[in-house]
Amino acid sequence: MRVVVIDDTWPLDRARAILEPCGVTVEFNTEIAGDDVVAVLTYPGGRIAVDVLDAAPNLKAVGTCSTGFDHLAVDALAERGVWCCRVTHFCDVEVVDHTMALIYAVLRGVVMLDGLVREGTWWPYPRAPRPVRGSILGVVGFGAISHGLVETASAVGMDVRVASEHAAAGDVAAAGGTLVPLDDLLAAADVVAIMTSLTDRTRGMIDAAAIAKMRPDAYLVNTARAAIVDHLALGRALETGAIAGAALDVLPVEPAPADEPALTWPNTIIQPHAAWYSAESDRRSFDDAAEDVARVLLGEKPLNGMSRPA
Amino acid sequence: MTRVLILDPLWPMDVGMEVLDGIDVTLEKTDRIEGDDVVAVLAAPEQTIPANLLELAPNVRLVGTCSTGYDNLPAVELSAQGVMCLHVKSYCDEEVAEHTITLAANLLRGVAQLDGFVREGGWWPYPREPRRLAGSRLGIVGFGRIGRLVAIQGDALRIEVVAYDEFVDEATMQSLGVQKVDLDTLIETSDVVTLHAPLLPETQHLMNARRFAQMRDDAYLVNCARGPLVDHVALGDALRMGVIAGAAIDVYPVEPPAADEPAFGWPNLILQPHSAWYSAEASLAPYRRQIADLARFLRGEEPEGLIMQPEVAR
Repeated sequence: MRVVVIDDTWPLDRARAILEPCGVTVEFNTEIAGDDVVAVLTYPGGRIAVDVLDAAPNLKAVGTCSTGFDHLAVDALAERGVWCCRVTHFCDVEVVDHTMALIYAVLRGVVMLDGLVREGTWWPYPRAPRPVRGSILGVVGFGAISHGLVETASAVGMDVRVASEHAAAGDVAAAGGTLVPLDDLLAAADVVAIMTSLTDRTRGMIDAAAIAKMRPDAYLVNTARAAIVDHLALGRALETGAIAGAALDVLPVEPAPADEPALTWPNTIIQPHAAWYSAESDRRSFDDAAEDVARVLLGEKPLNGMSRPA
Repeated sequence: MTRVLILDPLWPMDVGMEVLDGIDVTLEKTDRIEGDDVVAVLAAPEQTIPANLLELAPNVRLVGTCSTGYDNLPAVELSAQGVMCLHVKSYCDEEVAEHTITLAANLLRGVAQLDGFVREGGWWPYPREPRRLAGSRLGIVGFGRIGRLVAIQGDALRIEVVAYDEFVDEATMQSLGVQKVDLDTLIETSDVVTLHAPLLPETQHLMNARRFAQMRDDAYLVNCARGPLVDHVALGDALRMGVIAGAAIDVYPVEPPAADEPAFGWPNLILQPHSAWYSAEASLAPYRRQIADLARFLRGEEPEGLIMQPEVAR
């Protein structure tokens, strides 16, 4: 029996260590074909449709090294007896760390000041550093990552406000924040951090009207999903000085095409969707997916299976 | 009439002056020290107070510099002549500590390098792999007021903090969650080495070629203290040859750096314009403190920023 890995960056030695005890061999292959293929390990760029079963009729499990699973035909595969497994919470710590680094970066102005020094500027600073302690951080959303961000930001002395339709005020307070309406958060914050998942309700939630409520000296940090923010409205706000700056780890099209408008916006830090990354989270994304596939092969219920097969 | 001279063309004359209400004194900006009616002189850090001050203005009993460092006023000589010498203690410790943590976190997460990488068309794999803050080791050289604030903030970010300071005992460090280590251990084991020592003859070039060679090849240096703590040429060599992974410096051997400053060409380096001290509040605090101390002096109270007790009460 074989497990096919279609991601050429997947560390095969680790997948083998996890899966071979189940009595399978593990190989990299661009083709998923054969009666002996029992599982596939994939990634966000590797789409798995239900017709995979035409060539591999004995498939039992598909594991992806990502939290997102829109590249997998989850329900259709489940109807045909296949578990689809994703990985969750493997990079919560990293996203909190990276978001904190970006919050510090915008408030202290370090990336802009670096550019200015190289242009020969010294004093007075065109971008005045601000205190972090006592500054108001507005966190939009209150999931697991957001919870960690609220705890960390309050630990460094920020005044943390949270806007969320689902959170209880007591849970936010226990993490060190204050639950407020979104409009109040936008009007008060030195830094607005987007920390919610992308759903039909949050798509475009931070639109031109929401950005207009922000302070002219406020920054927007987005390490969640680009589509939560109206990208062109954000660009206009930056170009007209309606807000002070932004730090974006996510863009409408990734990787960023050469004509991505954010590349020309002033006072904007751009990251290559890197907030999730550390050597540890990178390893966990692969290992957790392989381990869940191993559970399926051993007849157990996977921890992060998405739709129970018929 | 009692006059106070202000040797600083940029001194904001509307900041903190309310504490002088009801005191009969005139403040005037000037670049010349003279007059029998001058009782105090307040100076910008760039202004040097001459040792023969009392020959120019014999009744001066207070001299202040609007900075923490006071190498611009001859405090020992003037104190011996009964003049109170003032500086501004710790008005920007928190700003420096926050800027230091900002640079440490940005180096560990690769923020500046990744920003440049995206602008060159890059995306994945990252040329600079972001690291976890939790479990990364921050080594603080010099555990004074700023070093301690850096430790507190690093701890809040779940960074493991170690420190070296021969004048601070283990218990004091432990009370802040910091492990005391020797300098060799700190330099050899830290992910980020950050300098918070004063510049003294014995700390000049504290970081030199030998010390860079001791650092891990994936480690970073942060210097928000004083430029000459680091052998600048050795830093350039270490960066260009990959002896260390990167650095962030807020201070230079000469400030501002010249147009041909070699650091502009070194890789994996974040450059700052001596801005760690800055916040709007901190930018005005030295003026407020000096005017408040002037008011104390004029009321016959002891100023808070005395560098040393004057030896003779004249």
